Amino acid sequence: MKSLIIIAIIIIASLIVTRSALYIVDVTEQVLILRFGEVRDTRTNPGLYLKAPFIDTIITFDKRILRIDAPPVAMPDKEKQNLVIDSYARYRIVDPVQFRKTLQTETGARSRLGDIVTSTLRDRVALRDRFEIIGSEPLVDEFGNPEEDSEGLPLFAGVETRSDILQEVLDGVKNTVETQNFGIAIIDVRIKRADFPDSVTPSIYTRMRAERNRIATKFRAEGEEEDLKIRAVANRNRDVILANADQASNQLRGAGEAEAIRILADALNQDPDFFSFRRSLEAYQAFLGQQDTVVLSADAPLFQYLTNPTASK
Amino acid sequence: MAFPSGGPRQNELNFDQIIGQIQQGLGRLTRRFGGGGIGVIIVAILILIGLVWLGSGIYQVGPGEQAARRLFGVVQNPITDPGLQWWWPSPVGHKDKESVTQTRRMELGFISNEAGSVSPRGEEALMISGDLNIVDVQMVVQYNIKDINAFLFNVDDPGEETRAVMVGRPEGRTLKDAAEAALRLVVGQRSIDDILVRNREDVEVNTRDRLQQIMDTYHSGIAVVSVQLQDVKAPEEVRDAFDDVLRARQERDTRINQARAFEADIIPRAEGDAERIKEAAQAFKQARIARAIGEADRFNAILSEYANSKEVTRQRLYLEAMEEVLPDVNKIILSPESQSVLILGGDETLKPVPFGPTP
Repeated sequence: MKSLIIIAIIIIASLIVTRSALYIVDVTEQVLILRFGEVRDTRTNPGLYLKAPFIDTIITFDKRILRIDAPPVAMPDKEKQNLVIDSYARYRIVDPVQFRKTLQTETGARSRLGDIVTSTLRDRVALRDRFEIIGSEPLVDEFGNPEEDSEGLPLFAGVETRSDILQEVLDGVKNTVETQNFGIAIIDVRIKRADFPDSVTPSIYTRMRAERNRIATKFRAEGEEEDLKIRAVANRNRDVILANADQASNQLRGAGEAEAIRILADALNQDPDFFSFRRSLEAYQAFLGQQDTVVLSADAPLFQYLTNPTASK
Repeated sequence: MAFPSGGPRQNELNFDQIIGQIQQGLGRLTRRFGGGGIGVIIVAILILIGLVWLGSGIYQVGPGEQAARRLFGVVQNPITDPGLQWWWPSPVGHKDKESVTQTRRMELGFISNEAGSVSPRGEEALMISGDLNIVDVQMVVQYNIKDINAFLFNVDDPGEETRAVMVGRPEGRTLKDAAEAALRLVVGQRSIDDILVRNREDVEVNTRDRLQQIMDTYHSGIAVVSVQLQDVKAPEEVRDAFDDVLRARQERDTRINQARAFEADIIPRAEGDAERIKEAAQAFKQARIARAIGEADRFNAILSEYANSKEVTRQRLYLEAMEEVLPDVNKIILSPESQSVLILGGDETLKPVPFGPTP
């Protein structure tokens, strides 16, 4: 029984010792092995490792890409106008010994690096104008006048100035981090948001509204203009078409009459006297009717036989 | 058990050797207790615990899933085939299953719940466009996992409870931050009209490419399948002005269409009228000529006969004409001596005075 207890104690003790001597470094971690507070070794590769039990302690650091979310800060640009810029950075602990010495913990790193990112960004932003920070460029023609689209809105071209600014900030932060020997590598700095300060927003809205009102007015005026134009042209075209038709009509009629006159004249000219005689007879037939009263002289040739049946010429 | 302590790192362990040694130790224990009684029970319990522990390593990989495995923190090749699998249980090994084929979805600028109702998130949705206007953009990012080991072990992330993203998965804040950065960069390069109407697709493609690029710099193992703009609109405060522009554009087009309709109405009519006028003139001309020819022919015909016997024909024609004319008219025949004739009353009451016999 006594030996059993001894064995149990030995087993438990050896378990405790083993537990204290063995440690696992995960793929996402790197560790420092400390002996009495002094860094004795580092492990950056994953695996199962052995250390001196009880006297060696380990501190774990993350090996993954870590995140710094800088708070939104109002930053003045070249024209001293504020933009609220919300940025973030990514880094990785590459030298845990230095990291522990300088920044100590991820929390420490977050506030320290956040400050560095913000101040570097502030320096760079102060050298650029609004359009460069937002990443566009108003288009101008060869005379320097702003180019506009069909709706009278200024045209813009996208430019990579924001990426340039961020590259400069990244280089700047890298530089600082190296000089200070933080034991980290900065991977990325990005502007998450760049917004107008709340105090400016109403005036932006006012401008947007005015701009839209101008476009709306322009559209309506254009509608009016086009309407009048199209109708005027249509009316003109109609009038021209009808006038041309009239012209053609009169020409045709004239030609017809001329031709008729010529044909008749040619025929009638053979004996103008006979024509005159015959045509007059026709005319009498045509214009004398029941309502007419004809006063005839009794000695008209028509009546030469009326009173004198024996008369002769 | 030979574990490396310092010096060159050795990650691989000989498990057969370990298990062999455990078995040897158990064998010695059993012998010490004389192969019976309490010793047997202890050994049995230990073996049972061991079996249960090993049994807890059985797990299922579903279709479309992959399992990432770690042994003592070292990453192994992921299991990609569905089915029943076994892997060392904790603390020796770890396994993480993720669905890799399933397209996941992240909303930006709004949150939709399962009932389908959408609540906007202004601070995420409002951004500056290239012409320094403010625009309200709602976006959906669709993504999946292209490399499960990279996805699980490369990037730290606080996770996002609202989207049920676990801590340490880059689809949480990492993806969201990058998506916001990419979208705002792209929107900042375009005018508000490009974003609202003209070039939505261009915004989507560009944002997707930039987002993928950022996620690749982090080796996040995430593949951005697509970026889809949802509701893209002017901010609430100025929306009525933007709507008015749309209305004005409609009104302009309507007026133009109406004017064109007017044009389309009157021009063909005018052309028809013109044709009618010209045809009528043509008809007049032809009729006139035809009549003239007829008359001329008639005259010619008569004339040729008339030429044969001028005097008689002339007299006959005259008398025939008179015969035609005179019966219908009122006639007053005066003696050549009478100087004047008095006619009283109008046409109606006129009574002819007979003079001699009526013809």
